[in-house]
Amino acid sequence: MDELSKSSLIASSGMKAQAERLRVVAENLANAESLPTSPDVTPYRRKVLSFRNVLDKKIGADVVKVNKIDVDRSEFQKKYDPKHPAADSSGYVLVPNVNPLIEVMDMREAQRSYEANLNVVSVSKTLMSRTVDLLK
Amino acid sequence: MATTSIANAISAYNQASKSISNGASSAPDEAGAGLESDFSALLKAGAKTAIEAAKTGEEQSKLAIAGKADIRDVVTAVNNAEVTLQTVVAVRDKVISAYSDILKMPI
Repeated sequence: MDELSKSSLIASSGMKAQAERLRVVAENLANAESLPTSPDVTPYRRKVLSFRNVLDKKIGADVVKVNKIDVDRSEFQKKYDPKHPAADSSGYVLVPNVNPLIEVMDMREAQRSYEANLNVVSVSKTLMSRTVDLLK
Repeated sequence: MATTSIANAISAYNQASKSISNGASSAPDEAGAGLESDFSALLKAGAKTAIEAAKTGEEQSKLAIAGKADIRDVVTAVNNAEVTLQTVVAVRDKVISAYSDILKMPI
């Protein structure tokens, strides 16, 4: 396989990984205010994902894969809302451990990484076409 | 000087046709293959590669329409098909123009 085709395949694995990251961010952001239904139930727990390099035998190079989607084990925050059905005896409700600011920054980073990989694909395609154009 | 450059050009085309037809068609062709000239074998092999790439691209597009494929895989496959076709067309044009140049040569 041509080296330039390999680079676009590697970059597309990066794009897939970043797209999955964006999906997790979307999940976290959408559920930032998903409260429990009763006092003994926990609210939505923030999800985190990690990446891993995998040797692709067909390409002969390391591509990126999503290692595992895990949960953030940090403490839930508490909000005083005695009228809520999930409020405990002292009137506090557990809220998800999602910080929208962190999620937005994560989204930004996923976007930038996706764009970087997109540029690799477009540069390798342009170079390939221009090389072929030498024949004309 | 002139004769050496013509000889060089002919051997370069010969080599190009061999490398492309060897690279693309690993499986032996049908019985008539031996009778074919290098030129038609070259075109055949090139077309075969392009058709294969286009088929992969079309399969991916079909999956994409059904909502089953990753859009990035589709783009890669279609891009690959496009570049392969471009290459085959460029090589074909080049070889045909060389052929007609030879035909036009005064004997």
